[in-house]
Amino acid sequence: MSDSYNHVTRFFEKEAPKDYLQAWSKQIAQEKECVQRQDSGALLLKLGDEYLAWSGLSCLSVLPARPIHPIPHRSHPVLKGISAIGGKLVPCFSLARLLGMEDASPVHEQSLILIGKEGQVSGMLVEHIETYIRFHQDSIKVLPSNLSQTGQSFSRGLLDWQEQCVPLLDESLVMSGFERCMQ
Amino acid sequence: METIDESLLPLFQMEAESQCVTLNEGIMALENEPNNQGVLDDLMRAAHALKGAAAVVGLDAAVQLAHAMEDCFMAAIKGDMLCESNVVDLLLQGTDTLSSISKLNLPDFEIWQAEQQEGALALAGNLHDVSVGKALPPTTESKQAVVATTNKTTTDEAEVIEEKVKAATQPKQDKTPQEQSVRLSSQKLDALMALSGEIQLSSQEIVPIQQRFLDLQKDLASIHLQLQDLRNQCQHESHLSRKMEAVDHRFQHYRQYFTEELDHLHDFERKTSSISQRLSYEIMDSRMQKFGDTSASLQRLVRDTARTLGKSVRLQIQGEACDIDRDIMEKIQAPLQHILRNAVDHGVEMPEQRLLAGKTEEATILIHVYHQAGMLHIGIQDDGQGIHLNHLRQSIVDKGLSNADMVEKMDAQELLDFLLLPQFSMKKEVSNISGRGVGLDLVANTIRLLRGQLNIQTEAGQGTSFNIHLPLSLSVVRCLLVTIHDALYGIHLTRISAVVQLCHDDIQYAETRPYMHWRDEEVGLISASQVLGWAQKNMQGILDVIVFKWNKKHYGLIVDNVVNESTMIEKKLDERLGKIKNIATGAVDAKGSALFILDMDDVLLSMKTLIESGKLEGLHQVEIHDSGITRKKILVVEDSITVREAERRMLENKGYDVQTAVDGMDGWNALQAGQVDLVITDIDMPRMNGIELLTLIRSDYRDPEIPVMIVSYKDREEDRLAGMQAGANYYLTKSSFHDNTMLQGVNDLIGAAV
Repeated sequence: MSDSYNHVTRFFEKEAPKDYLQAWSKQIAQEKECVQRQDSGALLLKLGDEYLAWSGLSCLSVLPARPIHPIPHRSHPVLKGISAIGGKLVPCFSLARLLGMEDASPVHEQSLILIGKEGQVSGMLVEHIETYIRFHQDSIKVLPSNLSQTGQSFSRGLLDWQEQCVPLLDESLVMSGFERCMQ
Repeated sequence: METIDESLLPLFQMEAESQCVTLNEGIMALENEPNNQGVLDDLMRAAHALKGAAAVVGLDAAVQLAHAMEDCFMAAIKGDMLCESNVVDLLLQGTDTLSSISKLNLPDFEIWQAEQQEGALALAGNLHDVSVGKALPPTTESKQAVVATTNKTTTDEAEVIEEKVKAATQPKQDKTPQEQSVRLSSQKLDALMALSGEIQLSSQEIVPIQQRFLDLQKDLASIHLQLQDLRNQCQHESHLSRKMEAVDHRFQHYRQYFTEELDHLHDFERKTSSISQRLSYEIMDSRMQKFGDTSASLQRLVRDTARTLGKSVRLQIQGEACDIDRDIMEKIQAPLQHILRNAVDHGVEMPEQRLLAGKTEEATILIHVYHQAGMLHIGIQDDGQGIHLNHLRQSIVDKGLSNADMVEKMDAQELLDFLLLPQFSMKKEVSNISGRGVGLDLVANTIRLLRGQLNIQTEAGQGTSFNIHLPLSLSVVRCLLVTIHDALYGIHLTRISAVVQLCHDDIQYAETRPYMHWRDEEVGLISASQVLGWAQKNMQGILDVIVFKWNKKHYGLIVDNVVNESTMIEKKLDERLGKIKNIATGAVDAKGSALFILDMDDVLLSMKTLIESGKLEGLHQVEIHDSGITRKKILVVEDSITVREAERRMLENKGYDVQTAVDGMDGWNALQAGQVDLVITDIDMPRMNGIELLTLIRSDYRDPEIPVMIVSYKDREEDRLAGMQAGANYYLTKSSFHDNTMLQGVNDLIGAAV
């Protein structure tokens, strides 16, 4: 047997100090301090007067807005056209128009967020990115009834940010909403 | 079991691939010139290299086979053996076996060992026997091929031969070393191409910075003059003058430094721009290969097929140096092989028949490859018996595909199109080479998918030629860049007849339709904005008109501006967008902006539809009132003019309002433009076939439930099922419109015309 094995055996065979078990029992019996870990992140987007959160996981990159070529015979206002990004042609859409927010307050689209997966990348135009926020999944609040029951919402909950609630957008709903406007 | 070094297997496979090409070519050449020492040397070297590579990987069977082949070549060099046809057969078999061994994956190798290793070793044994002068085993059909020399060579002769063999096994010094190659997926090349485009764009970003620095340099020169002026004014105040001189000195120093750095920036810009351009050119070039790279396999195919059929055929290839896109080359192989096999089997007569017809005993098949007007042309022409159109007419009638009256009216091209139908064969007997009628439909399909065209011409007794027209590359195109509705578009140069500048006052009107007089022709004009569905802009001053030819007539497309001519790399559009009307693909311009490349077939059809329908903006549109009776509308989608017109007449006779379209794409565009009650479509059509059209209607059309009837020559059960599965309401074969089946079907689906 090696020396280290013997040391280990001796260590575990040694009698524990008298107050060892009591100290640990007391420690474990104590009520746990509730520290919630912030396990998720989101980009906080600005559209007109509103802020919206977009999960950071589905964001491939953020770029300044660039020239967009309109598509003939495709007149849907949400579909803005195609843009050349990294040598590839990416269809781009206006998030404000998809959410029907453009009428409420003017939106100056200055940033382009690339979302999706390889081969199906889309460009989402927003006014700008305010900041990056961290949150815990359990802290997502349910949507107000006037949104959750309409079936037309693109959000999956609300997040607290600087004493206000911001909608957390559901990426799959936004993507499928955009894809419906492509044809 | 042999221990195979898996890590070296891919390298061996690449080496074997290139050596097998050398063996194949050399052995074929040997058949015509059995004593060609140069060829024998090359063969010896290839077999030797292959043996060495197989030994390193641990493929014993391949080692033995390559060794036996090497023995044969050595015997031929020594003059102990003559490479007659039967020996050539054995050597080609050996090459095939080596080639197939080299393509095995490790798991398949065990199966190969169990099933085929014995055969390979027996072949090695036979080759060895041949090389030492033994007769071939009686099981082979070939005649005794070995000429065993009984003459003893003298010592001197032996030494000479030994030196020859030694020289042949050493690497050649006088020839260019064989190019090393690596396999690269086309997706990887596309990614490299996209990145090289980005580098080119990035290198251009330095140009405006340079310009700003040049402006600064001019400012510095003017400050220097001002400083000198101040110095002159301060001449009488010595302390000020000294201070000014010091300032001027420092200023001159920094100005000099600035000028030097600006020169460095110029150099850097020039180098980066040149390197990025070369990089882009090299990547584009790496997509291309020579047509001649496939010559050996085609020669081999013709030789083997002719030998099996007892015919004598020579394949002549012109234009081997033509560059072809690798993707196209790979996809066109199977169609070429099929056409060649057909030519040898169907086209070329037996030697005795040829002699009787006053032809040479040996037939010639000529493959002529050339570039013309931005397209690749491949012609495959045989000097065989040709296709008798009357026999073809009879076959069509016998198979119930059409009736005698109809086939009599069809021209040669329409008749020859029947050869492209599945299961259509004029051969009465089925052999393992041809006669099953499987293949030419696949040939036509492959060429269509490559955006090419297949055209057959034949002359009874003189031969048949298959002419294939393909794009030079699937990704690189020469375009004219134009702006339409303030956005950039590319037009394939090959489609443009002329670019004309026209004063607004030169536009003339006939029945409110605008036209211009150009080269003794009245050319109809239409605004590109309107074709693409944008609002028409106010046309003022000089107008740029792009002239196209279509169906022997010219049409003029008015664009906002002609920008320049450019080589564009086509980029696929996102599949989620589906087919965009009038758009073929996308591209990125020199400034890094996206643009669309127009689909000219689509654009011309849209132009024609707009002109004919009188829907030109700003023109008076005549409204037709037909006493309030609404007739049911039927869209007939059919590429054969004879069938299309026959269907139209039959339906119009019954009172239906019939609109026609020449292919699936045209049909889809017609559906977008207006509402119809029924669609009748063929299956085999260029650009978009009937099944694709039907699938599109069922998934994307605003009225997906619209009744669709398929009328096709395809009468197999699986074709009918494919049509019904795609959503057809009725499936009829074309022979049905001789009776009332089709009209009955139409009545069942939408009722009477009114």
